[in-house]
Amino acid sequence: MTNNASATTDSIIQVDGLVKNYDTGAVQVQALRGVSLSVRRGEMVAVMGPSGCGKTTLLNCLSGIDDVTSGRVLIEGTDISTLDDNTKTSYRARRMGFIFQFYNLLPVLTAVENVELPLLVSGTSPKESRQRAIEALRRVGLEEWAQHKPGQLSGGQRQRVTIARALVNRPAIVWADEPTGDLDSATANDIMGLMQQLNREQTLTFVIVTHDPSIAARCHRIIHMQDGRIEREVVNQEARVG
Amino acid sequence: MDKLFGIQLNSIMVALLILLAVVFAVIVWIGIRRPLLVRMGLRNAIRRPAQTALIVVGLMLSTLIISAAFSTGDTVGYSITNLVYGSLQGVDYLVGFDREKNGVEREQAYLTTSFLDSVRQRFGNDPDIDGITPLLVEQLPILNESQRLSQPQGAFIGVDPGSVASFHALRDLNDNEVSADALTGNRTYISDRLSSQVNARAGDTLTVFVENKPTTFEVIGVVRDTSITSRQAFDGGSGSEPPGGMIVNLQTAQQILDRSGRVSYVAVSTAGGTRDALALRSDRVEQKLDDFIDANPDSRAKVIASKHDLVSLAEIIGSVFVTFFIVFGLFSIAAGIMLIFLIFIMLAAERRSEMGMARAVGMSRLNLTESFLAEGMAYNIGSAAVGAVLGLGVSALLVFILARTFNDSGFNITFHFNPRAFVIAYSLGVVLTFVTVTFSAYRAANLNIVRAIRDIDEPQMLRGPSRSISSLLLSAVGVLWYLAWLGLVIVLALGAAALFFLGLSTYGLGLLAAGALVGLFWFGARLVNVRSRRSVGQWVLLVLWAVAFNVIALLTWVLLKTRAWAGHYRNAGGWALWMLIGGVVLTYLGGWVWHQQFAYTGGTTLAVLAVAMLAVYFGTPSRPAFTIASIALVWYWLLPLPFSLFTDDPLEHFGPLEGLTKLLGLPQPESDGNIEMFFVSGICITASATLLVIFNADALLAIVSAFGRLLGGIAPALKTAIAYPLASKFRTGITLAMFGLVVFSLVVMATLNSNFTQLFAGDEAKAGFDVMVEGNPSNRIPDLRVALRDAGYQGPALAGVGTQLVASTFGAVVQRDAAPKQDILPISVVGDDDEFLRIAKLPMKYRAAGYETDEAIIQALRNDPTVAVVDDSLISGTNDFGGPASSDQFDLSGVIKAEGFDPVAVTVKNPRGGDDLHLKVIGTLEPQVTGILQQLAGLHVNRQNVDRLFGGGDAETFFVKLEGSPSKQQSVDAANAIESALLERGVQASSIQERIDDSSSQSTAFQYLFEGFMGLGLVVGIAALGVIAFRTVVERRQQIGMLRAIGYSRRLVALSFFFESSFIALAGVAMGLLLGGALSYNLLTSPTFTSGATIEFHFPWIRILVICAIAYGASALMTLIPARAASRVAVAEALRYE
Repeated sequence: MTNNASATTDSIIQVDGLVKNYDTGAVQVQALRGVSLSVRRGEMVAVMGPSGCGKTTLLNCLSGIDDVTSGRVLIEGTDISTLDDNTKTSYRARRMGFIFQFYNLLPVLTAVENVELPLLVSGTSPKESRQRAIEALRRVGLEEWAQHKPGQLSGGQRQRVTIARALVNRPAIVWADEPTGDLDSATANDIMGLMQQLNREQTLTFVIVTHDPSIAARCHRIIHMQDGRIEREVVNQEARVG
Repeated sequence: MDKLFGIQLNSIMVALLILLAVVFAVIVWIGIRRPLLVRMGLRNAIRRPAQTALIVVGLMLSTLIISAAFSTGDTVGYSITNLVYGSLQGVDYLVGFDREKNGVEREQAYLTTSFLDSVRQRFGNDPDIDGITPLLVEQLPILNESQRLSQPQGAFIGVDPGSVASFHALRDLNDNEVSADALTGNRTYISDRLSSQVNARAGDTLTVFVENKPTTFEVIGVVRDTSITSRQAFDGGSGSEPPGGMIVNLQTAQQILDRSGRVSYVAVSTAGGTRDALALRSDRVEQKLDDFIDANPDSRAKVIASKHDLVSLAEIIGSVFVTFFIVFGLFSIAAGIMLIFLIFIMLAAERRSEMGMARAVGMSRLNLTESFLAEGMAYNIGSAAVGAVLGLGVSALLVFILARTFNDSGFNITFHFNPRAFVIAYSLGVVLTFVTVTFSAYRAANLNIVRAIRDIDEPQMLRGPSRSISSLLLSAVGVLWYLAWLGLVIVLALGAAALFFLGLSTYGLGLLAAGALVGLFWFGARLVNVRSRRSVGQWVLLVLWAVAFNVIALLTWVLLKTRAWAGHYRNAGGWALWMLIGGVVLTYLGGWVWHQQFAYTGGTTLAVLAVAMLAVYFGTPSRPAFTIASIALVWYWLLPLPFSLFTDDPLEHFGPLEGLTKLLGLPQPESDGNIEMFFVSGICITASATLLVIFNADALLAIVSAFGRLLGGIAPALKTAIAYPLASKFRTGITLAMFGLVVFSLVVMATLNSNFTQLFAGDEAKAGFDVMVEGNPSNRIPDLRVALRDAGYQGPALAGVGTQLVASTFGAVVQRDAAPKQDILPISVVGDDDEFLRIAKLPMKYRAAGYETDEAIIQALRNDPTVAVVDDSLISGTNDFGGPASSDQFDLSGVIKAEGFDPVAVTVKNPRGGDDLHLKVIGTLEPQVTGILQQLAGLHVNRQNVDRLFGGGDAETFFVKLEGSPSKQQSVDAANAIESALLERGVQASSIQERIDDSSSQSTAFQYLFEGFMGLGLVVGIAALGVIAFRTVVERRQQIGMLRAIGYSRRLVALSFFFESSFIALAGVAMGLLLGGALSYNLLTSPTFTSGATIEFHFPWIRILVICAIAYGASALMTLIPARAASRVAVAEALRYE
């Protein structure tokens, strides 16, 4: 989605007192213990912390793929915790993109078919979907690989396909869960560069969960989590300037 | 039932029990050696209870089908045997007049009382014989005037009250014996069947007509129908229900029939009861009777029937039923085996990375195989038992339906449980599953560790590593090593089994020796590949081993030494090469040496597939290679289609090999096949079509993409629904083949049934008439119209009355002029009057040269007294049961074989004298003409011949055509009115349409029963779809999470899964429908299959659509639950799922 300059100061994500409990039957686990935060449109935010601190849970709750126990999650002003499943699903299809550590591509479809899926789901015509999917692949440098299946691509290429899929519906926010976790450092650097470029050129908001400080260092803001709470936030002036 | 496929059931059971013991021994061996592997297997089995339940259902289906087939066959055999015992009671042998040796003069076809006396004198004190009694039997019209009901062909039976009691055959309806001493004067017992036929009971009066002279009898009781009290078992009777009997004192019967000093039969009872008579255990008494008859040639007697033979026949019929059910159940059993294979493929796929890890940490391939085997057998042992028990339930249901079907015919079917059949079904189920699981486990264990751990696709299996001829030959040698190894294992296993039994027979001592030998071989073989330096003891053992097992040891040594080398070079190319060689050899042997269609066509199929595999080996892409091969095979198996749509030339002209050999001037192949070809063709044709679909179904993806806009929101779901099955070609192929095979078999069965029913129940079966009136031989009616007018007939108006005079087998013999002198055989000569020939519609199967149309033949029969027409049974070379015609049956099967035959000269004689009739057979009737109206069977001549040579014959049959187009009810009314008007004349009239309907309703019920049985295969197919659907939800959980994350709604996810199953089910249904329809068309338009009968092919759309709807509907229902489960996957959890 292309936003104007003034919009970059808008708050696109607003979270107040977010609590998420998991009931495993025997014990109740408090994954998020009253998280509050705000993300501006066009901002690139990294969420860091040790394993089990609630990073992925936070991302899942913010993106609406997991329910919240209590608290409020406003995405573009809409409290998604109050939406029914169909509305949330439709919202995700139109306004969000996802990048996962293990790519999560459908192995039976080609790269271009994987990329066009969100468009087809949201009702875009097959012809336009294909055009936009190829365009998205071109943007991530994989136009030549459009007809290859995930099994025929390298890890970096697969993640580029995932990014293309995340971009193809021109989302407002891209959620990335350990996007470089399964890649070597050179490829990770390459992928991160691509995300930064998209953030700059298209004012896309990125929320990136990562363990890797070098990835976090390239984001505007770093949120450190510990035991389901936000421990501290660090604003990365260098990245902002860059 | 004692035999199946000609093998003693006891032998089958013993062999299966040995195999079962081997299976259990393998499991115990694994359990002792590797308890951890068994634990792993068992824990996997209980990991997912719902999935385990589904697997158990899948595994038990084959056993269920086998058990149901056996149990149903046993029940039928037991019921027929029961019928025989119930009918014969104490009668073990029946001695009667020897017609074969002594001619067929009706008046003389009796034994004398002096012969009876000599039998009594000879055997009266024989300890093996406990009863001898005479019977005088005559076929007479029996009338109940008070009810105006008659039985024109009732059995009038004279019994000797003094001796019949020892046969225990006079029993009231409560099964209590009644005394024959009450049969004094004109007092009679009547059989239950006659009681129903003329609606008479104790106290009523019945009239018997002998030579038109009535005699009345007082009925003093109703007794059960047995061989003594009615016409059945020994002399059969005709029609669906044999006439009942009227039992009177022998002296009275002799007096009324004017047969003083004569009897029809002498019944003999041997020591023991009805079911444990000596005659069933020994042929000693029969031998004595034969010797006695041989010593008294003037008696002109013969042992015409024995209980032992009839009980054996009953058991044969039972085994025919088992064979029939097993053969028709083969499709379902094959589908069941594929399901077992599929289940283990999926289990292996699910645990691929686990297995890779296990291999990485040191588990061998054998260990993995053992672990899978342990798990498979944990499912198998229980599920086979459940299957065998449920098979009994299915059988009980089938028996219930059968019993209802045969209810009216008096054949009482009761469920019978035979433990031996149960043991066979269970053992066969366990062994079949064991073999399948072993194969699947072996296949699953052969994985590449790195690819398995990283879950990377396996490379193209068929692609050759270097694509050179030399590497192909090396691979072929590698495969040869494998085959030799397999052969060695089989030889050693057989040797070990032989040693085991030899050991058993020597009470332990031999077992020790056998154990020592097995041990020596085992430890000796282990020393072949010892890498370290061998000790002296090891050398001694090795030398001992080599000496003791010499040739076997040498082969073992060579194989063990070359194992690694062979394993390195062995690949799919080598298998393909051997397949090609095997296929070509089989084709040659089947077509030119054995003349066996199974080998001929199977060999060709193997060869074509092998060529495709070799093409891929050398670099051809799989798709074109297998597409071409599968099209060629589908075409090959469906020949003569499509040519037969445009030309009537027979199949041989279009066979590719036939054409090639003809072109090269080589000898033509000849092959014959039996019912097993139905199964073989089904397997080959569906396998070929499956390849075609699987390698080309991505065209569907293109169509979905092209019409995406029209499909709207469901397009993405459709896309993934097609993409997933196509990505797992092997799995999808097996499921598709399974589904297609079952639908194929059902479509073929339903189409054949429907066409044959239509053939025998269509208009042609009526021969152009509405009512048939059978005259009374003792009260002849020269002109039916006159008789009806005189009797005041008031039924529907008659448009025409055709008359046939019948000179029965007692009164006519025939000889083919070109045949040897001794071929003078009895025949039924039917004299057709002009009105009959004018009205009758008699389609001809074959016409003699010079007769272009059926009308020309009928016209010749009307005008030329020197021509004749025969019914189809006289040229088919079979008896009434489909078996080969007996030597005492007149048969022209070797003479009249095809259209345009040369007229066959025959001479008909009357043994009582008169000028011979010299006739030319110019036509043969289509089989459907006599399918319902068996009265039309025989040699048809112009009526004047029967008048002249046989004095008008023994009886007449009238065929009545009513005015207009009468309904069935009108024809029934007319028949009732005729019978009522001519009651005193003892005629029997029936509506032809009613006869057709009765016959077709019975055969339709029977067909549905078979279709239902074959439909069990559908359960297998549906279970397969269920297994796949449930598994895919688990397998794709993470992908479902991703789809939901990027915007797939719950509905869309559910639809995707639903469409995926539907895609396979619908593709299978379409495949089965097309192939089944095409094969049915081929069969029904093939003169070889229809025995020359011309069948107007029709496709029973409604019946087939019902089958398809059930198949698809049930599979759709089966996938609703997993589809729903998929839609409810929690997205965040699914994304974390690994």
